[in-house]
Amino acid sequence: MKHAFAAGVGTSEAVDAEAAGSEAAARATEGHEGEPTVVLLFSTARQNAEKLTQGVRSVVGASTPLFGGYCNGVISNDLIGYDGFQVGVAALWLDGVEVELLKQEGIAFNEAAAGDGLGAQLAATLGDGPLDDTSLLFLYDSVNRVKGRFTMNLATPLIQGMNAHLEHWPAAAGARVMGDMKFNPTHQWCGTELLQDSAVAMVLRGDARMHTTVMHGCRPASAYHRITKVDGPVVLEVDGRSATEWLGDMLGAELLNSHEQYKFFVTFGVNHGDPWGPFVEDHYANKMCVGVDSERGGVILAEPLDAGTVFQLMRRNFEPVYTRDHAVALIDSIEAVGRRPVFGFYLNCAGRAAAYYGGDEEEAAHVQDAVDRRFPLLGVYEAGEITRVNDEMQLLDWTGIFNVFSVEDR
Amino acid sequence: MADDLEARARYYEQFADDAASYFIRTDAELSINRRALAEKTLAFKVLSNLQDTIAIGDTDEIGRVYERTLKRIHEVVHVDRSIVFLENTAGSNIFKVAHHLGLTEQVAARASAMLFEFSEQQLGGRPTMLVNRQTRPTAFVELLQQTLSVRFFVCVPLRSEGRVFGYLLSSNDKEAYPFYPPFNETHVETYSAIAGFLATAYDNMNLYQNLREATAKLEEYNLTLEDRVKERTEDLAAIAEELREEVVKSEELLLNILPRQTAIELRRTGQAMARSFDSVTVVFSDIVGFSKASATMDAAELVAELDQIFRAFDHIVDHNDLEKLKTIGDSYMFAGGIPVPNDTHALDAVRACVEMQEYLAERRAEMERRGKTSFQMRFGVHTGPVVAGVVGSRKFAYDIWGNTVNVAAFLESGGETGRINVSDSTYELIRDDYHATARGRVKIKHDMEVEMYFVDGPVSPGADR
Repeated sequence: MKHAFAAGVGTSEAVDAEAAGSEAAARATEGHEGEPTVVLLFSTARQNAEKLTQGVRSVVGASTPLFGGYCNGVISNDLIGYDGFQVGVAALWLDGVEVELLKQEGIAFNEAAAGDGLGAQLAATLGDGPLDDTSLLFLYDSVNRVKGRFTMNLATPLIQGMNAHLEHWPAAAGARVMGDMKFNPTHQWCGTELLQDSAVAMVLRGDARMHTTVMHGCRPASAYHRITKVDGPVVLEVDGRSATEWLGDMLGAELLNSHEQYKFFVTFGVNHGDPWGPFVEDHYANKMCVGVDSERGGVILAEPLDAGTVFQLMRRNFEPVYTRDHAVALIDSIEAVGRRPVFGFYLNCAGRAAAYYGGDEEEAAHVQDAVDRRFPLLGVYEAGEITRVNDEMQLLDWTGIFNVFSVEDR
Repeated sequence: MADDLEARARYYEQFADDAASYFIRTDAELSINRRALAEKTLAFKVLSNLQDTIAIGDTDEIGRVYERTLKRIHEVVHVDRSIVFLENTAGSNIFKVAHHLGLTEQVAARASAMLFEFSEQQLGGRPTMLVNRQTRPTAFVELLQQTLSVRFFVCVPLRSEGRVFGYLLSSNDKEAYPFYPPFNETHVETYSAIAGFLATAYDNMNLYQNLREATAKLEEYNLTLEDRVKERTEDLAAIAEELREEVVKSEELLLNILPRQTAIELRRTGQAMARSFDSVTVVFSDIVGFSKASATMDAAELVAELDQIFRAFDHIVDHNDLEKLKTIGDSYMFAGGIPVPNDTHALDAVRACVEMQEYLAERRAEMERRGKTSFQMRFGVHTGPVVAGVVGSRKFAYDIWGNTVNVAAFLESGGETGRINVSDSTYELIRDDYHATARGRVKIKHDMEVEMYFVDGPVSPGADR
């Protein structure tokens, strides 16, 4: 019987880019016949993108559409690697599933305009009908070196631009990607093109479904506070006071004196659900602190929050086994409705890698454990996770978004 | 009621904020401490990885060890660039870039053409270098930064037996928590541990090299020794062959002058015991007219003729199982029955005399045809007891003594030209095989008389054999 959705995942850590591409692609296509419908391709910035493409195409053919981009690292059923030469390939053979790849270049000049362009394309592709049979994956280049020095392309204006065209979102997951922690220029793959400064999207429509669970790893720790003054991503005032003074009172003055080490432990969580109801992880959108504006007494967030936003300080969960519980629950819920998981795609914040958050174990290992080789798994370490929070598309920080594609279990 | 609720709300808000402060600070400190601990374990991870991937024998190729080490450092410590400097000339402070990872081709090409002086002054009196945002760069640090494209780095010496033979350097382009924490003293310790491993590998390489050289020398020495042994063996074989040939010659010479049994005895014991023989036939022969001929013939011609005759006699003596004793001038003396006694010595001796006469007759006929002078002989034969042996230590000869010898000599001198004059004791032993003419008792000396016979010839040719 021909399967509606077949997937194979292969990885490589070869130093030679072409060899790495061919090796990962060969592993992904091993045991399958014919050219894949589409190939997901991810790689760290240590690999040469052109040579890597050549290597992959030597296996999957010259015309098979590619979708993906640079990332900080790769996760598969048996690999967790980052900051090296990791390459991850997922080959998908789809029957009864339409694939549409979209691109919008020029994000480095105006995130909102890029979002507007991509949103318009998505609206045209999705149409006005129901979106139950539609899944969306999208990525955008976060590294902006248009002005020479590094700045990060923000997700919020991109999403706002897309929101202008999309009244409703399908099942969707996206990521802000970068190829390393040195913010070297990145590349994206879309169809047969190798792009930069782009947002790319893959729409799947048909028998396959994408199911998503958000794994913050953070819980609210403080009372609610209100942002009272902002300048872009810099929160200047909280509760009417200098943001750094407020934070100094909250966490101690020494934190501000050595904020280089502490800043990533400060996360603002915005509850999009009932503020007085029980904690629902999927209702929270977290924004991580990435620096301190000492001159203006501001706290710099990875993504901007509007003045008037009510938030809580969030506490991280340092026992990453919770990801296993989330992943198992997601898989169980899929099987409970008579569907069969066929491919896992994990978008994971690079800061959650053990080497960076100071953990004893890799949180992604618990996702591997939950999947338990029942279906192919490809994951990427990236710099910001995007998915629906309480039906609003949000960029999340310090989060893992675990997506599982399923087909009807006939 | 509202005031009370508001107070409670403020209480719980403050309570929550205090808890948040405590937990977030604690979590952060715990995480930072874990990271510091992780940094301290980096060396163990690198060394453990190297132990797994580098076998002891691999240190034979130290370059490969350096390259694997750099790769492991990059995989575990996540640095941007690493360099191994090795001394340009042994014992100097001048070093060159020998191995690197992460350098661009352009920087690598430039670096490989440069020499770097790691003097105590350049290093600021410290054996290691730690360069981060907090340290003030020296002129040497700036030189390294500019020429090798290294910004923040740690550099430690590679030592062997107290001597610095290289440096290990790793650099990062950025300092940014938590991804690129600044290099600190923990990293110096980490790299010092890795440097210790490399130094051990270097020492092992030297040991292997020394061992290999020693083995090669030993093999070369063995080959030389084998050649020498072979040459010496060949020399010895040649000498042994020469010796053997000399021994053969010597034995042949000895056998020429001594009976075989006597020669064997003499060679074995250094002497030959004199032995008594009860019955031996002794023959004296003498050329008739030799003195007269020697006065008229050319001396050389005379000796040549004598040599010719006596060689023929030697042959006759040999094939009749007789023992030649000696020649005295023109006299030829031999005997039968010595040194190995037998029963045929009288017949053997008489037969030899007959053959000698026949030879002389043929010789004489030939010489007369050529107009030359030739000789006739007298033979005296007597059978009786003798003592035989070798006397003296130089120019020794096997000889016999006793009255039998004297009687035989008298029989020769008392004979006639061309006749074989035998005593009765000999006659008694040959009478069945030879005709003889009795001469009666003939006085030889001191009124001693001997019954004599002239041998006329065999009863029938070959009858005595």
